[in-house]
Amino acid sequence: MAIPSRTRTPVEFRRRTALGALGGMGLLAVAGCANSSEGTAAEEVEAINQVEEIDSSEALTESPMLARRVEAGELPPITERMPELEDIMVEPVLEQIGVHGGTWNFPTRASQEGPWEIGKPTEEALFRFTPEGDGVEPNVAKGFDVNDDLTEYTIHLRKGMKWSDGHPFTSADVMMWWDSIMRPEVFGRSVYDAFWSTDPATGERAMAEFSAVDDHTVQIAFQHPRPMFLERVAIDAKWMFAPAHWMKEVLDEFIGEEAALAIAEERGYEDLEGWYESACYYYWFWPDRPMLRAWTPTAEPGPEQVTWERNPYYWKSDPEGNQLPYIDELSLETYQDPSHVELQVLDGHFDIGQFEFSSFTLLQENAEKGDYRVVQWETADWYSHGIQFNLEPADQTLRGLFHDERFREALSVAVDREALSEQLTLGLGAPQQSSIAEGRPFHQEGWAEKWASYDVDRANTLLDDLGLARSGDWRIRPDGEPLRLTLTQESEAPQAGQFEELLKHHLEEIGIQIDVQLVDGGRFGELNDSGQLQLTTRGAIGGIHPIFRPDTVVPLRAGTPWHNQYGTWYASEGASGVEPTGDVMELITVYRDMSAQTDPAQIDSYAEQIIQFHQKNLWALGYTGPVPRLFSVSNNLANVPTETTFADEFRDLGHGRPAQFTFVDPEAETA
Amino acid sequence: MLTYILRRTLMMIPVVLVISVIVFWIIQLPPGDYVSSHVMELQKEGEQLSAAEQDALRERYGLDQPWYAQYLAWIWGILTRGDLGYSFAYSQPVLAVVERYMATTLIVAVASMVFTYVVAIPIGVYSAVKQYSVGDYVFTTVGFLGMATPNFLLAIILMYLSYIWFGNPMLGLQSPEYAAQGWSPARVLDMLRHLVIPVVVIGTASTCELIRVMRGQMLDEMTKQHVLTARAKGVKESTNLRKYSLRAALNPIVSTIGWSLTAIFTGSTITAIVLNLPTQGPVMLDALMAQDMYLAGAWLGFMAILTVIGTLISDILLAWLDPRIRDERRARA
Repeated sequence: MAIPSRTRTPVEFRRRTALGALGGMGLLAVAGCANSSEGTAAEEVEAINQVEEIDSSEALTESPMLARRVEAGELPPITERMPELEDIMVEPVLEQIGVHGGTWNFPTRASQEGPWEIGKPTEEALFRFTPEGDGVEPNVAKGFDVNDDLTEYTIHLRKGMKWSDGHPFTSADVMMWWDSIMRPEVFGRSVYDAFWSTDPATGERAMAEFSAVDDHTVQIAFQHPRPMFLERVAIDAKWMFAPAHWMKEVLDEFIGEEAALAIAEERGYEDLEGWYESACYYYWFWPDRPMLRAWTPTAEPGPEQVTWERNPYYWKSDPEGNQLPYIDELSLETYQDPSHVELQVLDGHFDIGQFEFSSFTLLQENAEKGDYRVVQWETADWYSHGIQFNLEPADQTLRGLFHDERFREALSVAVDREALSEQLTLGLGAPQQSSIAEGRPFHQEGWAEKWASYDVDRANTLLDDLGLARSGDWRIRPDGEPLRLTLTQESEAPQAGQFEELLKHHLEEIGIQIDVQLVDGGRFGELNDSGQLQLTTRGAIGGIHPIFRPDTVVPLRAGTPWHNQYGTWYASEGASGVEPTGDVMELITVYRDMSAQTDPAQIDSYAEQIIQFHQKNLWALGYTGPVPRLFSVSNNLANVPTETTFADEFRDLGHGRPAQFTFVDPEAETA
Repeated sequence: MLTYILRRTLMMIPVVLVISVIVFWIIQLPPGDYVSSHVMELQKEGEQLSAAEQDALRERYGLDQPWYAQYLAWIWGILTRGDLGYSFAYSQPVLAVVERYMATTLIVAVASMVFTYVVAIPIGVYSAVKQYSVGDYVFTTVGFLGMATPNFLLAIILMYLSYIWFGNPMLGLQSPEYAAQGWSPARVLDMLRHLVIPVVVIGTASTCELIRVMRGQMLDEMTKQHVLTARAKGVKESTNLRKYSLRAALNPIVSTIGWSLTAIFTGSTITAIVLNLPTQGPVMLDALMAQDMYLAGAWLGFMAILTVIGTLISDILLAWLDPRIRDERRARA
């Protein structure tokens, strides 16, 4: 990471941040890309991507679709729509310069079931993660400056940039978001973690202050150092801006509560909270709401299909000056069951489909017929099949067992990982312990092998040592009851029931009676919140870096089964939940220390400690290594990365930079 | 007759009210509420809500109140303002959600009802008239097969055949390229093509049942004395069939017409999911699963009302169609 310097002229501001440990990932990703394409082609692409700035307005080219509208006088010419030349964001292309046109058939669930399916891939964040994932880079912002003690961040915006309705995008839009949307908490979320700095001495938190320096500069000041501010913004406050001119017509602050309520009702909401959550947070379904996205909706979501059209004012171009996106429109088609997506991918209809690993064989078998390829993105999970122990079950005997390392080891070595790997993951998820893969940051030597060999005798010895004598088929607990555990999974999880039954088979071999319980999502949440879970196979733990998304590895709030009661305790500041002890408490302490660090190397060393606690304790056991997330990608589509990371922090498919996805032959697509 | 209708209508009110209480009570029975299932959905997409944010949501939706308080507020809204409540998942009034899916639902429901009657009645009559003929055996066999095959399985088979023969599984009610357009002959044609599978699938089950009912009734009626007398007096066989046997045989079919009203709403939820049809069924199923209280409650309430109204309509139709029922009442009164 470059050393921040105090004096910078606006043209020199920094273009990215980086964490030390994550640097290795970049190399991995780049090496992967080079292997998958021909050497010369890779060099050519690199040469194309050398361009950092478009130097002549002559070079700017627009989609024929927009050119027709300009001719008809419906739109101003492209030079007036895009930012000033030096402020146009040049998006590198992955494989080739693309062609304008075509319709991307995009499967979505009904909008009310999940706004993110279209939200993430079309998202334009102020700062986004680099392709390698080792830090953030400006996206909507042009760059940033930060002072040496990390208390003052200056963010530069792009001159001449416009909202999708042609209105200029300025610092007023950032101020609008902060003053009228985030700080009054109008959309049902508390002021994000990103905007608080912590007093290293007292631990007290202080809120940031925003000020607009000029039309294109915003300054964010903290009372105490705020390391990782931009990363947190990239995760929490992805869009730290809102169209001020539009907001002034809807927020009650400007038009009075009565008029605001009238608008809410007109839009189908009965209260302001609901309407504001939709207008300020899940805003991308409103066709009239100005956005910065590459595509914007042409209509409100209907029962079947809605078209998203290219944003004529989009502010990115490819290195040759072609305005992005390449693809003219998205056709969002509602499906009710994932099998519909499968069916229509096999049929060659959907251009990109997202799948769980269980669809692997089906997709591969039909790739030729459906004219698509299967792309595998790594996930940041530590395992694909494993169990979490609820460390605070109601039953005190069980609590004692779950906290005993020997018990966890017994449950780990009692399972034949080789068999599970073949049966459940076609051998793709390696037979290993929950761990971080080699080549990824924080990889630990020997972790994958810990408690990972199949050894029933060892398991039996361990359980015998714990005083769990066997009587007939089952082991007997100290209180005379047979040892009986409930293994809970959500019924809608992929492969629900299969893994659980196999696990039951292996654990009953060593005398632990298992009841498999498949429940629906709401019920699972209830069981989890009330501490009634014992073992669960739902979800996995892991993440890119504990500083980005600590939720599954550090008990900071409720949600993750293994630490749910501790997370509840921390989030409620001791009001409810259970106070952790020992190494779990250490996790929290280390995390807090990490958050107060200003030096990336220090942050990484604390993060490593957190990881090592997990290696030592294995509060969650993994039986098979992570499996990739699958995409089917039409062979007519280019510039879709084949090897990268699939993570929410990176916005899932959005990490592939969909604006530069292109059809090889757009005509064939629309035919 | 008029007082009869009036009395029956008045009796409907307490029935519907009681049903609505039971319905509402049952919906909230499962553990968790809309917020907990919503939070789980968000978690899958990587969004976390803190406990305080969840409580704020509960308060906003009124879920922090006991269920009877929620019920009273809801029913009061319906009675005073005709407001069916608010769907949490859609962030829209229930009525708007129902409206959104109403057109497609009606199209599918009406088309499959018409299909059922047009196919079943003639075949039933034919089977009765030509009892134990080859045709009768064929229809009987097909009928039993149709009754025994679950709808969704038939849907999958037809989708498969459509995919093999035409290269298109015919999901949904129209091709996506038409969805955004205005109505044109091409779009109507496209929709008709997509309607074939749902109509056949949804229609078949009741068609087969109806064939059997129709056949049995006709066989009964055809040997009744008044029919024999008419035949003996030399009335043409076709007139005899149409005027005496058929009219009487329609009796049980008419008395069940009312119930098919509910089918408009619920009909074939599973089939609709399999075929990706944008109809009420799947929407309501999701509402129940997610505990979207008012949407689910309004829907179940609708069904109750429709069943009650349907029964009333059936009774009125019967009284009109069958003089014996009318006369019986008059005799008693």
